[in-house]
Amino acid sequence: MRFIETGGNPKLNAATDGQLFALMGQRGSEAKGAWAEFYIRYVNDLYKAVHRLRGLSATDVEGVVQDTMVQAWKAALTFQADDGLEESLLRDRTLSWLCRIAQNLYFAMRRQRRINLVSGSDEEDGAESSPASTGRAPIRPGELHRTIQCAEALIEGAGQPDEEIESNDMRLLREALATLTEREWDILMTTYEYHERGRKQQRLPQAVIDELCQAYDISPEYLRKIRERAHKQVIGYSKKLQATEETDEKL
Amino acid sequence: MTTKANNKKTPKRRETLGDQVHDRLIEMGWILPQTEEDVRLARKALERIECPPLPPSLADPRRIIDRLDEVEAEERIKMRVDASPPAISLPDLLKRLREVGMALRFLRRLLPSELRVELTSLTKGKGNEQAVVMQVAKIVSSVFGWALDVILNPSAPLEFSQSAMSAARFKLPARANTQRLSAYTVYAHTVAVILLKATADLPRKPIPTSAEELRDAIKRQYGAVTFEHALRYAWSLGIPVLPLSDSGAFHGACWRLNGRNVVVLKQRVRSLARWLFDLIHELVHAGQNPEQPDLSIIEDEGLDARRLSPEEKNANRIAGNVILDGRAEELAQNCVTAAKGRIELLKRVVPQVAAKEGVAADALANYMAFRLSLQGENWWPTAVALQETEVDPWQVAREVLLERADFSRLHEFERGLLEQALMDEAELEV
Repeated sequence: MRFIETGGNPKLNAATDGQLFALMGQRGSEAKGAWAEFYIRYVNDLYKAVHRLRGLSATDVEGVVQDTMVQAWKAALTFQADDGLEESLLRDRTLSWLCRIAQNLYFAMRRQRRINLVSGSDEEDGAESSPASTGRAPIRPGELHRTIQCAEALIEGAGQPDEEIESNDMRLLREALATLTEREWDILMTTYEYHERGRKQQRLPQAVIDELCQAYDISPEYLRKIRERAHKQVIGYSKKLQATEETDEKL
Repeated sequence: MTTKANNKKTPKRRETLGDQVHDRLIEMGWILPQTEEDVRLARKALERIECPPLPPSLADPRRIIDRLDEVEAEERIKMRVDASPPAISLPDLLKRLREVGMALRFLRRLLPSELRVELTSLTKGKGNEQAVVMQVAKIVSSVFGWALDVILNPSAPLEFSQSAMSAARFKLPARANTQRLSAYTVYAHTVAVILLKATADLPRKPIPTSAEELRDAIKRQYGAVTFEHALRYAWSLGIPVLPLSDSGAFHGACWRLNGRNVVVLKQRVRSLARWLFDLIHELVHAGQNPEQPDLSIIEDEGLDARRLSPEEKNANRIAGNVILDGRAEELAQNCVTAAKGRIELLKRVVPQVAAKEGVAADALANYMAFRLSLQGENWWPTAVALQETEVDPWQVAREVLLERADFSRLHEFERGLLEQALMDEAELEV
């Protein structure tokens, strides 16, 4: 990892994130310096986080990181500072804020591509395909190439474990997810992207439900069924695999 | 996954399972942390993973600091726009753009399909006019480099001055009073630069400069000199070829940026022989002065001085000799002899000479047209009538481009602009 050298204005180096955002928001003479200092503080962590997202090419990752940092400048005044927190908590808070921006950009990118990624193979696993889903819209020049690239990136992302961090749980989950069709995978992953820890009734935003239904040409009810089925399949597969491995160990 | 909560079917247990899957996905990096708790979870994994080095485009904030200026400019405009609607109506904006050579037909090529639909709806009296005005203005601003507030100000002149074209690093044609030529040239240059970005990984090779070398290289690699073979050869040298289908403006161009060449073919005559002639002609230009990092050549029929310049004559002679197997002058003389020096007989004579000598009649006709142009005779219309037009060279060039260009290297706006440039009129209507 090549790190950016810090330096420049010592006053900005010592400033809290809240102070940097305040300077950025004022758009005064120190605003860009504050942004550069903020950029240097967080670009490495943000890049690491975005780099591992599925289905993004190297160019996409660079684009998402750059756009996130530019959005941070744009939205500087909306950042809720709490300089009373200790430094590590402050960093976590700022990074989660950046990740929420990056997530929105990532979703927008995925939304654009999802339409192109509805593959013919998905139609085999469900009985509710409408005529519209079987007769796909003609592909415009360039889209076919892009679609293939996206699909390759998705497959590549799914097939390459981060061996350094792979725990048994993660390996099981990865293998279980690999048993899903592309549509099931997309729907389940989208569900987890909107998951809120500890919340009893998890609910996808209506706009996301509409988007998924439109992309896959299915009803909201069928979307729920696919999600349930995929969830069960993932849990079932993991449990089964785990049981098999435990038996093997005993033997 | 290990869980103790799998035994009961209570909502609480399912939430626990969901939380566990969610947490594992965060650790795996497949979903982004959204809360401080998520970040702490992800951080442990982030500290352990080997990540590729920060790419140069991200390593230095100064590389993207210019984009902050754009944000500020947009904010200033937004403040003004929020305070009052754009000072210009859609019909006035379209009229203003038409006056600088951007007729609606050309403008549609710049717009994404949704905006084209909205524009059509507005002409039927439906839709949000202000939103469309802003979107059209933003796109025009991105392509032509005019500031948004200049585009939206009816009294501010829109000019294709060199200084205003910050993004266009090339010399506009001297005949720049022809607004259509200037507008289209700037647009084509923008798309060509996007194509260079989409083909950044093409290996670069030296470009042969003589007819013999060029012809031999194509024959050695592909067996015969055809349009598709020459096209693939150009790509193999690291020169992407952009085929455009609009009429007017220029019929070919060759630009070099930071040592990389890109060729634009935009010949209205859809004949393989004519496109082959133009392609070889542009390849010759691409091979000129390789030590110069930048180059700009625009083939504009209206510029006699340029058309008759030694470089142009040389490029045409080489093109003729590559296509006619080094016998261009000899065959031209045969035609003149057979026609007894009478131009009106050439139309009949050229196919006869071509058949006798075993060369393509349309290729020979093109060379004859070039030769006659040197003595001030415009024989191109007759040459056009002798062209084989069964296969559309634009389609061939488009297919090869789609095969070789990597669209994933492009940002959404760039990708859209390139895709739209590669659409024919019918596709633009969709």
